[in-house]
Amino acid sequence: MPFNPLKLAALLLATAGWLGAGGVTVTATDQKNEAVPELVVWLDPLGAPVPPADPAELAATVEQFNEEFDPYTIAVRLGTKVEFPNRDDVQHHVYSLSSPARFEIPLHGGDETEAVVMDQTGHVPVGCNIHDWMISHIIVVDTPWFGTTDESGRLALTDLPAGPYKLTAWHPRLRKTDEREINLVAGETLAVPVELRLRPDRRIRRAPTAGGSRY
Amino acid sequence: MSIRLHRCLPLLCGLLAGLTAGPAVAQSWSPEVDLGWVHNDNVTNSIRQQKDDSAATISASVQQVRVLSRDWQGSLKLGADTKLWREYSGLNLSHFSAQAGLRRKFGLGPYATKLDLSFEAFHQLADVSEWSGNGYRAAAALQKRFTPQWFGRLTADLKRLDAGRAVYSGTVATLAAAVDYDLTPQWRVSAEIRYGEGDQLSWCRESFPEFIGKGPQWTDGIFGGDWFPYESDGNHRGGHFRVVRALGDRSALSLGYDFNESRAPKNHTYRNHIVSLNFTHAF
Ligand SMILES: [Cu+2]
Repeated sequence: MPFNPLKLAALLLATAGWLGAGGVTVTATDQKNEAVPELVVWLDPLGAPVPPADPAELAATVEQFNEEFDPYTIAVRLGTKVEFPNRDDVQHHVYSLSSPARFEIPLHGGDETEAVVMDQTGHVPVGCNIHDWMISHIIVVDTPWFGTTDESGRLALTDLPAGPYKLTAWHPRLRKTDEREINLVAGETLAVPVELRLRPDRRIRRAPTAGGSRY
Repeated sequence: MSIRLHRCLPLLCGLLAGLTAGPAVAQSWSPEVDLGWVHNDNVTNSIRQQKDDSAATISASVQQVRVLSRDWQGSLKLGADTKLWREYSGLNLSHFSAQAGLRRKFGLGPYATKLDLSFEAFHQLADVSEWSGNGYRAAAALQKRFTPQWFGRLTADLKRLDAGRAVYSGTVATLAAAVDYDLTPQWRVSAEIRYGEGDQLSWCRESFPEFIGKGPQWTDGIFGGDWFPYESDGNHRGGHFRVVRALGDRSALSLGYDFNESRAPKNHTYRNHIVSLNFTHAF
């Protein structure tokens, strides 16, 4: 087999990466000890630089389907182009009045997609000007390590360089973000239980009222 | 007041034409059905010898909303409803209606004030054929959401019916203020107060002191005997309180209590206490 220096370098890098990588599994529960899904979690490295973003990964989607946004919460990396495809056959009018991203996608019909680049970190609540109950929360972070918890309140992040991190959790029903410092050890997965005190769900109601109008 | 339906027809046709010919994309038709039960402790609207009855109510509508621009929406609604009384079937009424609406939203988002203008033309079918006829309803509503839980509404509406016999015809203008509060995402309480002026339809007996010696009246047979319908001009005060339970995103069950007090000249006052139970489903 002929010697290939490129293959060797790739193998060495992969081995070094594996040796130096750790992971974290977050399990989120509320004051009733029930799982907290849709919790946005991200890790900022402490004392280490944030690796540059791969431009191909700076893409995310917030759909409008059945007159709701999907997902309800999402984390994206700074610079991400978020697409807003309309999968309904009715029109939506997507907007945000937030300071990190102030935009308006007026009146787009079925199968139309518009996109917005998130160029500031922070919380971007997104609404629809036609359907008042529609809401989605985009959290723009400057780190490649983020995600949202699943139905069982769990999120696993893998392949992180060993070292100290700040773990931040955000949810629309939290009064303020939940922050803690963790230390990741190479070759180990750290279990982080996150116990949260959630406020009542204060979303605008969608169900009809007798004699009222849905719009 | 005698604004005739045919005078408003050109306005309705104009609104309909505007809604169907605009460049905006139409939303699809959204059907909604409502099944209910209602009990009224004074269906005769009488000051004495009141009669009570309960009715099953069914209504169905389809609505199309057309987004005309960022701030303007138009809507078209076709509806049918019927009320079937258990004891006094002569009170049964059905309506077929077409409504055109225009909404102006003053700003972006759920907390922007909304002004709704609507015009509805309807045909009324009654068991007593002289009560059948055509009518219209013009309404304006100013709506505002203050928080995700608090919602307020001011409405003004004018309703006119031209029935086969003058005693059933009439015009009523009403002003109302209402608030909704969502205790939880499932439970809503609503309250409304209202004031109205206009024609009131009541039933009375020839043997009542006020009518003794006035000669025979035209009777419609709804309450039998010597009961006859009459009309007076007066004012109405009332309100309602309602508790609504959401059943998922598209259905709701509501229990309501409605109070009405009507005063006519010479201090003829009658009251209604109405309890209703409704199931609404939006498809
Ligand atoms: Cu929408």
